[in-house]
Amino acid sequence: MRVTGAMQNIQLLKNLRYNNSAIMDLQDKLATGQKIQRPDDDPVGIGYLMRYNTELSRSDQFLENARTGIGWLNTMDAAMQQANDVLKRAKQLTQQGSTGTVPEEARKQIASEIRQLYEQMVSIGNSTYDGRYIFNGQKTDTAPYTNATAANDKTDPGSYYLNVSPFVTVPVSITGEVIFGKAGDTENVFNVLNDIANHLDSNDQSALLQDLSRIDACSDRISVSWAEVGARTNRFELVVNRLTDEQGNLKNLRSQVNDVDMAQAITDLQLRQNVLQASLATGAQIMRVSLVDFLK
Amino acid sequence: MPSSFLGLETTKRALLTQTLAMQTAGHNIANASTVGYTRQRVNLSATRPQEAVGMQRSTTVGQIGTGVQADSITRIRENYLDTQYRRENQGLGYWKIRNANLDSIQAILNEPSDDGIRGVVDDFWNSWEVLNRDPTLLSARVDVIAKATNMVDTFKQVDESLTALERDIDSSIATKVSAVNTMLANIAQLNDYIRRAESLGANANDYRDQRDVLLDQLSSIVNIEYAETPAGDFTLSIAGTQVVANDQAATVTADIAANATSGELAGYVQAKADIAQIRDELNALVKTLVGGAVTVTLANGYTTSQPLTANNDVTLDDGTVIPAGTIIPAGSKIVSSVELTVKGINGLHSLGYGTSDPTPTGIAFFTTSDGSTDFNMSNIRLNPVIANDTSKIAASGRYETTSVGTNITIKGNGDIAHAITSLRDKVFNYPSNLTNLSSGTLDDYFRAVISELGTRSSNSSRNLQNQQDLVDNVEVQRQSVSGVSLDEEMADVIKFQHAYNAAARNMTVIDEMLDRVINQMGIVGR
Repeated sequence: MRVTGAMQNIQLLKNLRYNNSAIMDLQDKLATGQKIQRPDDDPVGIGYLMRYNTELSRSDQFLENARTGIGWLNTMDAAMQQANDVLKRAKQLTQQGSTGTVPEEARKQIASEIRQLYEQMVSIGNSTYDGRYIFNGQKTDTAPYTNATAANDKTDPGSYYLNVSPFVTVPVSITGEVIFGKAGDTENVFNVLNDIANHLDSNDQSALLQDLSRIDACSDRISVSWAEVGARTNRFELVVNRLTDEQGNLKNLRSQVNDVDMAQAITDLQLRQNVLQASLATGAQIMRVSLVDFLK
Repeated sequence: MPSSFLGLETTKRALLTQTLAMQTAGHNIANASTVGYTRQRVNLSATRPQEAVGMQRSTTVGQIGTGVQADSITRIRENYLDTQYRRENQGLGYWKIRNANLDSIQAILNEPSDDGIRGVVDDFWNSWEVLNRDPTLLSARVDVIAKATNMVDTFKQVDESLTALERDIDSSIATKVSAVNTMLANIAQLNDYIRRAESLGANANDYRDQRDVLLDQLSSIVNIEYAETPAGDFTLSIAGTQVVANDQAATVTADIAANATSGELAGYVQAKADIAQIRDELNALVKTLVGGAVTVTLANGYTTSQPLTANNDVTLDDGTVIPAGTIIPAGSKIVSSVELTVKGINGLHSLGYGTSDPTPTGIAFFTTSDGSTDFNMSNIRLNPVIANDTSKIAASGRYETTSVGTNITIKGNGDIAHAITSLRDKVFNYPSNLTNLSSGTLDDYFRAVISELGTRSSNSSRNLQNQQDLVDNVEVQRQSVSGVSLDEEMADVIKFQHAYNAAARNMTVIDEMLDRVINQMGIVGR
């Protein structure tokens, strides 16, 4: 083959172009630590990469949802603990009041304590989490109970839902009427406390004895909801654990798709640089030799 | 018998011819790095030999050689390689432009990054998740507005960048076409020079080189076809239209680009098609997000503000059961789970109620800036009513009517916000002619768009690489045939120099011979 100067030139330039672009590619990868800089670096991989990124950013939200749920449920749990304590005390006092040996004067005192307990129960019913009333369904901006009309106050039946994964929605709130009893019902906790206070005032011992069983009914109902709150808390805690694990997995997967194998990349870069050096050196050597040098 | 002075003539011819050969070698060396230069050779041949004159066949030996002559100076060039070079060069021009354009599109879409469309769409959905967590939270509402505005702005910015890219392409086409016109005029001019020179029997080597360079350059811009008859008639067509005939050149307009099948002009046309495709794909995404038909379930029930039909049997708060497909009157309080078919985020948001009193209803979340009903990246914007008033975000699905007849939204209800977060996982249908994904979630669709763009781009850069290699290979072959090798020229120079020196010496010998005959013969005894 006839070889001319221009051919050597073209060949050298082509080799340099090829080596330099490969080196630039590797530099880019090493500097960012990422395999996929643009969609054409890996048209399939970028689909995965984008999905992992999206899922990670979503799972942050789900995690936040679960934490909000846990916070809300913990507040409910505390409120129900208090409600339970109030009922225990109310039962004690009612038992005391129902005994015949207690003088009328003392019953009046007990009645006033029961009224205190009633007010405490109302304030438990008006508990808030983060400024939102937790026992009023979706009307979280209005207090469900007032001292004057608590026994007949209707709470909103809606409930509060949170997403914990794309297709899983967990209900969080339990409305007041489910826990404290239906408005106006005989076993409505406010109604019961009200009646006990009135019966103590009116010295009605037999009614007080019946009231004891009504308190038990209230307690039972609260316990049922309380257990439900516990179950939901567990569920959210499981979700938090699952999401944390999942985030780890997603990060792992993302790094498999997108992270540069540093050792490999550095070796490749070194190799490329050697090749570049060789092609530069040969180019310079070959192009320096000419017949002209040997003619006198 | 030849003349006594024949030897002088013979050596004179040698001296003149070797000088010419050396002159041409010098010309080659001078143009060793000239683009498109073809090495030239002086074609030598022996001059006509002399026969001895006589009535019969002469008895003298013969024929007698009379020296050397230069027949012609020709280019050493392979037309076949030119054809090949120009064909591959057209492809190179095409892929160069297309690849550069796809790179620009990728840069505009800016994936993978948190600032691209994926990032802002993620943020948008997440903001609804926050709002659902606490529908009464003002900062969550502000965030929804901010994230929606961000998303819409990103769409708009992508659209504007694509438009700017299209404008750049149009102006590049105009520039290329004007370069084409200049080249065509130059080719016509060179045709004239070549014909004039060659009609007198010479070879217009250097003019031909210049014309070949112009054809090479033209072939990178547009597909060309050319022909030259043995009589020297030259015609050239670009993009299927004849534009040069001998010394006449036509002026072409940018319209020629539409007919180009290869070369940079065809690359620009394809680049515009690539942009149009990505825009159509993203517009389809916007359209689907805003108004794609989807079925949502409101598990908590819903209070209607206008008559509508559900996909399932629903129970109202008074116990009435309304079967699927039957009209549910306005103001009904549905307490059972209700499944509705709505048109995208706008349809869903219109069902919801804002927090201001009295309850605002039927507000579209997105509107178009030009009043059209056809949403796309450039005209989508957040409904200004919502942008100006956070209470107009309709997160709630229930309202109550007070004793005085005013409708008051239940503000803690986030059912609609909750349903909007679920849109993200809903399967929508997309135009099947755009991507290979005709149904899937919005995220799936966008990923398909990006993957498909990546495939196109990696394909085009591979083609560009291949085409560059092909052109380089042909160019190397061409250089192998036509390029100047300095070593070779130097060797030739020495060859010619030796021939010249020898001829000169020969002339001296003949001179001495004649001197002997003329001055020193017949003087015996003088």
